[in-house]
Amino acid sequence: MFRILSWKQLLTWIISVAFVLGCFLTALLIGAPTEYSGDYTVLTLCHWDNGGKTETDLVKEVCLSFEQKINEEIEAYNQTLSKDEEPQQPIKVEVSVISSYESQFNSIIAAQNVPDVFLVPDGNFGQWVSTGVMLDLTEYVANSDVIDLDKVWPSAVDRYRYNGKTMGSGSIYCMPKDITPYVMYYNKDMFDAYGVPYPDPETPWTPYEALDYWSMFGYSRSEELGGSTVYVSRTGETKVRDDHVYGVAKIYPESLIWSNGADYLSADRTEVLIDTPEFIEVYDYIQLATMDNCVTPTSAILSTTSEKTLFLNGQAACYIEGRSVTSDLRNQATFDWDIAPIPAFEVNQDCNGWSGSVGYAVYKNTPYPDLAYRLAEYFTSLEGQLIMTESGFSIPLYNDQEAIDKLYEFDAGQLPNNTGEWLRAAEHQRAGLWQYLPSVRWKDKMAEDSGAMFESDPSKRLTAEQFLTDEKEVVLSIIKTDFPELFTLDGQ
Amino acid sequence: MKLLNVSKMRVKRAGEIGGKALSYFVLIAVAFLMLVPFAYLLACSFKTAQEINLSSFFPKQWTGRNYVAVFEETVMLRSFLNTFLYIIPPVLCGVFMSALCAYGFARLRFPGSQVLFSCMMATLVIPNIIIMIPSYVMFANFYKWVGTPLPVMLPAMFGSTVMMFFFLNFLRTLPRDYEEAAILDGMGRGGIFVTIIFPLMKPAIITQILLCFINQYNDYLTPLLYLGNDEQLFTVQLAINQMNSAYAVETEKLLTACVVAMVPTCVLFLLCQKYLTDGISVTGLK
Amino acid sequence: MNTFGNNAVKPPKKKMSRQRRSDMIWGYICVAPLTIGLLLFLAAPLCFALYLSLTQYDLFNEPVFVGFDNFIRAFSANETQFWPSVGNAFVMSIGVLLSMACSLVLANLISGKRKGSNVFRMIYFLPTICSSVAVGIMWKRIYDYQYGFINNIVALFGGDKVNWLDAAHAVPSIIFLNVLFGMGTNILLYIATIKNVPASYYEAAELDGAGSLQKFFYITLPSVSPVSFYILTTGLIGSLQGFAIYQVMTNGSPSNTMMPMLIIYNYMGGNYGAFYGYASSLAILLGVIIAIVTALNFGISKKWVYYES
Repeated sequence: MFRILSWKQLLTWIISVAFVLGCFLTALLIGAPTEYSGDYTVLTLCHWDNGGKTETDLVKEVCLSFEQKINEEIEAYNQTLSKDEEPQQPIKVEVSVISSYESQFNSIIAAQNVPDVFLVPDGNFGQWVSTGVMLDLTEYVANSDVIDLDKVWPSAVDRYRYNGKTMGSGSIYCMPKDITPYVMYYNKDMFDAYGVPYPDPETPWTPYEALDYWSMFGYSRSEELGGSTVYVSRTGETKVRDDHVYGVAKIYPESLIWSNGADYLSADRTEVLIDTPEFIEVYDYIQLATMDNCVTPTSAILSTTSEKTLFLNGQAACYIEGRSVTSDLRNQATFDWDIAPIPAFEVNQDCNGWSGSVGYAVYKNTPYPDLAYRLAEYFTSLEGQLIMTESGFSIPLYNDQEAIDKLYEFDAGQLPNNTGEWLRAAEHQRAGLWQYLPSVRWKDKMAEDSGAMFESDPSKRLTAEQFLTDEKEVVLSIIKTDFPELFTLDGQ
Repeated sequence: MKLLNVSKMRVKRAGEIGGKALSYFVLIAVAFLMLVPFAYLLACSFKTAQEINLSSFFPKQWTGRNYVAVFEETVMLRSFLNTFLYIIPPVLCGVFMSALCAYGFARLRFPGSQVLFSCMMATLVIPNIIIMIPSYVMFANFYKWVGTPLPVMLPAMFGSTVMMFFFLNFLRTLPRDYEEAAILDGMGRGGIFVTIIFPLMKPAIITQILLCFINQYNDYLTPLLYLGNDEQLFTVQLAINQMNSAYAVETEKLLTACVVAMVPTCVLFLLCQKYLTDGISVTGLK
Repeated sequence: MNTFGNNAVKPPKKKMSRQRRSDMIWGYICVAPLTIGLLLFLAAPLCFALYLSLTQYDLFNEPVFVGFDNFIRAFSANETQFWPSVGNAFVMSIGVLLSMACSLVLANLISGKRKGSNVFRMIYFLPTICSSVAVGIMWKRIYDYQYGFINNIVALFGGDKVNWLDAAHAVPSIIFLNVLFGMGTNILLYIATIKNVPASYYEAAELDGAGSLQKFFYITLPSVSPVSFYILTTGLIGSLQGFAIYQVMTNGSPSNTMMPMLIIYNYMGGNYGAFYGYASSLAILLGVIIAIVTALNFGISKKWVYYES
């Protein structure tokens, strides 16, 4: 009489419980980190997808080439062993490609499954190195017979140094994979149509020369081009038309500031130097170029259309950008173009901008630090560099004839013609502003506030001097809040 | 007098008809506004890569290629499997546990029940946001579960207070006759719950399973935080978000993936409309 | 709570005590799982949140106790984003009010209908069950400047394309989408409530010669006020914690679409770095704001919510 469950009910219960358990276990099995059989020593490497498929394919190729090289070594070594000695395992490199890499990386750390070797964009270097996930590579580099630090462009390595407080000096934590210098792309067809002389392939325009040349676009567009309208004048008509032609898609203050001998912060990052006369001159210049001469779009316009679109559509004659857009321009540009140095003041003409870079770091707790270092190093080495040159956007990291020849060989027959400019730029350009301190809040704030200089209503507009004098305190207080240790330790 | 009255009524009727037409017009207009985005999405999913940026609403050349591509080239298929594996156990288990708890409060007398109940109701006031970060830190550093589905699954398997409250209200409407008869028969409380109460609660249970399933299927933040970067573990929401944030977005495939991601909940809704609308009218969704 | 316990039957005394003991044990067994779950995944993190907000912690190194520094930082002039983002969230909450008003009107229209009421109810509810990520991506495409559906139509009629997601338009655009796609639940709740209003009220009003507008304002509106209060409260809480739609659609740029949740998420190892302590203190501040809003809402509710009997 005590039948608690009927058979049917019992069966239903058993099945549903089994189903739930089954789902649960399967989910766990999927989630459990896969254990590899002992046939290989597995090295893991993670990379981003920002460089597109060409780059990820080449990274995989480099890894494969590294794998072969090491496995040959291991095989050769195993041959020399006697029978009772255990042979070394061959290695295998596993590459994972991750989208929105920078923001995903911290969850990688949190999950404690940091790959042995991982990509570090130089913009994130400061933030990540200060968490202590990277292995100090200084010793390895010093003992390496593959890398000769004297030959590598100094800025390519120095941006991956960290001394515990600031970047740029101290121990090396990453091996640079590439460097992408910034240059000025220009639309030759437009220069011809407007009768503007091409910029010199080696000597940069001074900013005031540039302003004169850029001003020639957008005012006297000839009828033959199909345009029948006159564009915005200097006399203060503020609405910029959709088809206005700009001299340049965007002017970066950094290149002008550095070349003018000024700087944002002092070397120890405790002083803000943005109110020096040289600095103010640059901001005055940018305000003049944007608001009075209209040679470059305001940030409001750039928020709807990218600089690249402006350049590709023939709405901007010049475009200051890194090597990374070259392959896009090769595929998409319908006009003749070339590259020239970024306009710069004569005080420090070589330092006319920044270059971007990514490097590979080795995880601090990796089980195979030596192998992992060799993999990271392989990207910097000549062999790795030769493969990566084919990606179409990295410039050799060395002053090495073979690598340079390869670049010329790869670029031959393709635009741009002025290949030498890449090397000049790579040699002299610095790391970007993000390298000054491990967080970029100070520079973001400054960029945001600078909107006050570009108000469309001239009566509300601040002059460069007003803006920078006030902003100095703001920037300093942000640095003090974010990095109190810079100040306290110095005082003691 | 009578005549006047009739004409008055006519005016009134005309006004009524006019009002009715107007109200239908408003209803249809709003429905149209809501459906057009979906229609646009659906139309886009049949466009080719060449056509996707053209301004025509319907594709000139219909293609099913995007649907094949979404399943073949991306982790979509795997993410569907993952999602179901991750959410079925918590949904079923969580609903059962909540119902069990509701039964405990509704029918059983034990010391401390009032206090415990008030405490549970008080937890409803705590905003989720406060819990999010410490939970993340705990899962990441104490349990080392980040990068596995455990943080997504486990917390939900214990049930939730909202569901418990829903079941409690349902139980209060149930007559006690069956149970009392069973008690006299000498049946234990566990047996009563499994054989009598649980089957009686079927409509409420189904409603909650559906609601819970839809909520968990659409959840984005939890898997985003906990599943890490391994795309083999992704849920559907993460998979489409990954396509959206990829460096080179393939719009036609992204939009197709959105269509595909919307299908399960929509189908469920169409099939079980009655249960869902009843449940939502009482508790609300999300 | 007089429904607790079983006092309907009175078996013999001896049996009762045994029955009671077993009831007690089963009672604890029944409530145990949920209690344990709440302790582990709610109470424990809640206490931990307080500790975490007083530390500096990056998940990798040991947490450093910093006292109230995080809160001081949050209130200092250097926190330029969080408070404006809370303001943005309140601006977005206009959507909750709009959605409430629209859904009440629609629910009223639907519940007066015989024909098609089910179809409308279904259509209006459809967006609610679709995932916010997919909906966000869909609307991002619709609002797209170059290829978006709306700008296509604008261009068709020869207008100037509008950037729907720039600083000037993003807020109304997102509010519009929130209102349009957030009405489903509200409509269902309103319909259920309106149906429960006794028909005799309306009949009595009709005898007094009330028009449909008057009936709406004098009968329907007071009867749905408790549900409106519920919708308003949950809507505000949800709106202040909005995340997915904003992350997918604008990711905080232009800055008037930056939401507090996005900032907190970015401090959790996102774009702003790994500051879990600071993130936790911001989360607690947001939680307090939500609590204040809810409490205010309860306070004001006495003035306008009409409870029967």
